[in-house]
Amino acid sequence: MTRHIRKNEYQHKTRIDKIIKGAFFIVTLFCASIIFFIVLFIFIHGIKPFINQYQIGESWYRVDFWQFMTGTVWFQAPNVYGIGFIIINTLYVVGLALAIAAPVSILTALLVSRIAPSMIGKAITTVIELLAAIPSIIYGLFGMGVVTNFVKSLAKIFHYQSAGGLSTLSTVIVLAIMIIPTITMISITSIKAVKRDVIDASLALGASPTQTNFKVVLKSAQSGIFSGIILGVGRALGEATAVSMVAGNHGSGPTLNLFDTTRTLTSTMLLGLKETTGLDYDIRFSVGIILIGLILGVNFLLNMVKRRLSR
Amino acid sequence: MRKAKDLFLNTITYISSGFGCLILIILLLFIFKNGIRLLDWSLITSDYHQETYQVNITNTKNYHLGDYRNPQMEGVIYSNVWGIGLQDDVDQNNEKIVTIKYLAPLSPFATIAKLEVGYQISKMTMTNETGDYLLALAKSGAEPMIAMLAEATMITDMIATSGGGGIRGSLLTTLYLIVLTLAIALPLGISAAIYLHEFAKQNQFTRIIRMMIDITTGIPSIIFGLVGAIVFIPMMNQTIQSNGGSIASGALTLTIVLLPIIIKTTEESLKVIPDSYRMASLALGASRSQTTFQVILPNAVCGILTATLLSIGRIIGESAALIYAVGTAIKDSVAMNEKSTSLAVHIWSLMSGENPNYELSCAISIIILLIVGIISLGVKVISRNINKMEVK
Amino acid sequence: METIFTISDVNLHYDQNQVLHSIHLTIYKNKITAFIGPSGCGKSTLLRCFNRMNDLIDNCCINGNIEFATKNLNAMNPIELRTKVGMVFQTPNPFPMSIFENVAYGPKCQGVRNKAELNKIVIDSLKKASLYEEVKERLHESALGLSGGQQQRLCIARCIAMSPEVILMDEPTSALDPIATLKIEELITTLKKDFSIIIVTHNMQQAARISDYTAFFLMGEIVEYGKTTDIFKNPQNKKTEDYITGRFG
Repeated sequence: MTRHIRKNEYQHKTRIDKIIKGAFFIVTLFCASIIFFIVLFIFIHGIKPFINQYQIGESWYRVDFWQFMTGTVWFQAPNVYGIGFIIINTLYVVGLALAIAAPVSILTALLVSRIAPSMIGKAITTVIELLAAIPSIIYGLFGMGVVTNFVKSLAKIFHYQSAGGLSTLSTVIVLAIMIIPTITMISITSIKAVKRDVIDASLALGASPTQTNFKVVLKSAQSGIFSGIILGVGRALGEATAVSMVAGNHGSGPTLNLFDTTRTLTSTMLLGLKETTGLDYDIRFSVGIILIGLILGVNFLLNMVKRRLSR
Repeated sequence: MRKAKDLFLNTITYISSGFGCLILIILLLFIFKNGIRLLDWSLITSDYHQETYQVNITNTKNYHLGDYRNPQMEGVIYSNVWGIGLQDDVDQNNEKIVTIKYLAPLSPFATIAKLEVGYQISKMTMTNETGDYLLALAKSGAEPMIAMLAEATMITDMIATSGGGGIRGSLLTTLYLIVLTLAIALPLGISAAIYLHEFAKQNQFTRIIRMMIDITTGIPSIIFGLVGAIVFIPMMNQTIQSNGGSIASGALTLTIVLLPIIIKTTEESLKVIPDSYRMASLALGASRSQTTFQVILPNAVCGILTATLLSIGRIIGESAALIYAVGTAIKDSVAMNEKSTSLAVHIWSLMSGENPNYELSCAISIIILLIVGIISLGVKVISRNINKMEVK
Repeated sequence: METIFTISDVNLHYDQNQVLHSIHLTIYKNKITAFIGPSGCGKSTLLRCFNRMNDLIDNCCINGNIEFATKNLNAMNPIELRTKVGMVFQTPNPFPMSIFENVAYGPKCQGVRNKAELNKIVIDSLKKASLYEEVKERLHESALGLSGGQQQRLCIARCIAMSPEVILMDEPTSALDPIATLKIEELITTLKKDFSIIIVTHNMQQAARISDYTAFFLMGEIVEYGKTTDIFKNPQNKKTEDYITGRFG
């Protein structure tokens, strides 16, 4: 064997190993630092409206930060922007969507994992997986075509004039539909992971299967289910395309009435993009900063709650 | 009492599950009902923008009105005098138009106006022998138009359009995006996954790196779009002479969206490979790199394939990030350093104007859903194969 | 008698745990040396020192001196070392490739490209591992289709293809049935004329059958080391005698 090898072939191989390890390390470092650069760049660009002066018409303007954070009107010429009400709208809409989606998801997951015969369980799982794979633009299209019409008819029943169906309720319904697959799939995994002997213990004590499901299984799986909920909330907060197509982009707020049009942080960032330059373009980055902050904050809070629950 | 409560709980459980199935069915019905009419080969191959022609046929010396033979095509109303056959039709916006279904080879419409079969006529102004003006509009239909042609001697003004409503440009753009993004993201992601699993020490530093990559998965795609707009668009403007958004900047943006997914999926498949392979290879005197490339990677192919399919699905469905990082201008000729729309952004463009085009959007959605469906099936088949390997 | 390995005062720690205490040992060339002792007493750990596979474990700390043919082990390039000191593992672990590719893997990594030469190496190694007759019709079929005993002989052939000086065997037959075990024991005794073999085994009778020298390990220390016939017929240490006669272990 050694007669084929150059004298320093082994050193050569070790060196190649080091080079490749180094190259892969740099790539990994780059991938890990993406999050850091994202926050950095958006922060730098989004801070501009509050620090630099913009020329609008004849004069130079700046946006006031406090007004921005607490304002109840999105835009008043020439330099007043307010997203306070938008933050409330976003949380409101996501909260309602969660209120619909969480029970439906958890119950569906329970059905698939514990109650239904395995054929039906597999069929429903396939349905959920299909729903999870549908891109948000198609949900938006569905929202515009079907959900808004539904809400429009509903509003008529309540004698309320809705703007062609674009409304808070439409947004809530579309968001709920979008996060149900996420929460359901994770809940299914958590429920299936509940140990057999816990279930057996409950049944051996004379509890019915249904009681076991609701009192023991759900409680054992609650940490995993809560993770699913956190993921769903994250997705709902960040959803842009579908929401923009059904919300209506109301100019002021906050909007609590289900049949009124509304506006979220993401719809603010997305709508009207074609005709924007200067201050109007940069302010979207400021909204982006707030969005990132909101998502991180909500994630952090919910993780705290999760930790409390598992104690 | 307990039985009643149990029954109630079970019932609402079944109803909740039915909700999901109901939504899927309604959604699919909506998309298919609205989109199926437009779904044919010409949708995929034609341009989106229409070509408009404004022509007239007035130089009486150059053409000959006479007895053109009627080809007797069904549904087509024919003018013997001018040698043209017209049919009533609707366009993609569901408005009435008149399509040219037949042109006699020597018809003045073919020789002078240079029109072709398939073109649509919006309006036609004619004069007859006595000098009266006759106006035919598409919305009145083909019959009146042909009737007027019977007495017409000159066509003073005519507007015809061709093509339109096709998605060839967006289809091509989506393809370019997929190829370019994967070409950049796959090597980077696989390298990072290999480093994390094969080379890195499992210490605090590695844990931090993993955590940072994990956080990136939770960021909504619109934020990536913002970053793409302020980082990649100027970068591409400097390097490949683009003006504003481009397919290249879109691909770079999608790369950073996909990296965490590719890294995670590849790492999962690396975990499945038994450690004994590594040990055996190293004990034979192979170097780390040789072990990685000759033993580990070939066995991770399933996982890498899954990562690729998942990425393709994500690229096709991605809208918000591309709206910012590329733009929403629908194009027919597509180039790397120019703006264009992917299929999903095409839908956004169609629906966000004043005249939302449901039919075309649903037709594109059918195509997207078909591709995404095939991809999901593929991922499932591959995971089943991976599980078989684990059992062995 | 020539020496192939000289181990002086080797201590090994995993984190805070000391696994090997003050090991002194001499391994002789072209002999079969067996490490015996109850589980968890450091035999496999010491074996892995000889081809520096312990380097791959994060918290492993080795003190002391190991010399391989008068060269300090730590001064050598580990890749080069492993081409000279091969290893066969407890559970057969052929690569998911063809039989031919498995045996050719090592030489290919060292740069052998000539097809005729690879062919010769593969056939010679399979012959030496007493496997050639059984697989000569299916060299290009998957190695995973072989029985457990055949797979282990394949792993030995793979190792032989590198023409090492030493073959380390970590309980090579503990996962195999008695007939396959017998075949491999026969094989090992024939290998000794070309290679020096160090074998870790749980099976005392195996050690008694095939080895020339035996080291008895207990709790990370070598209690007794000497010619196999001496250890088994006249153990000097009481603990050795207890283990051999089955009073514990």
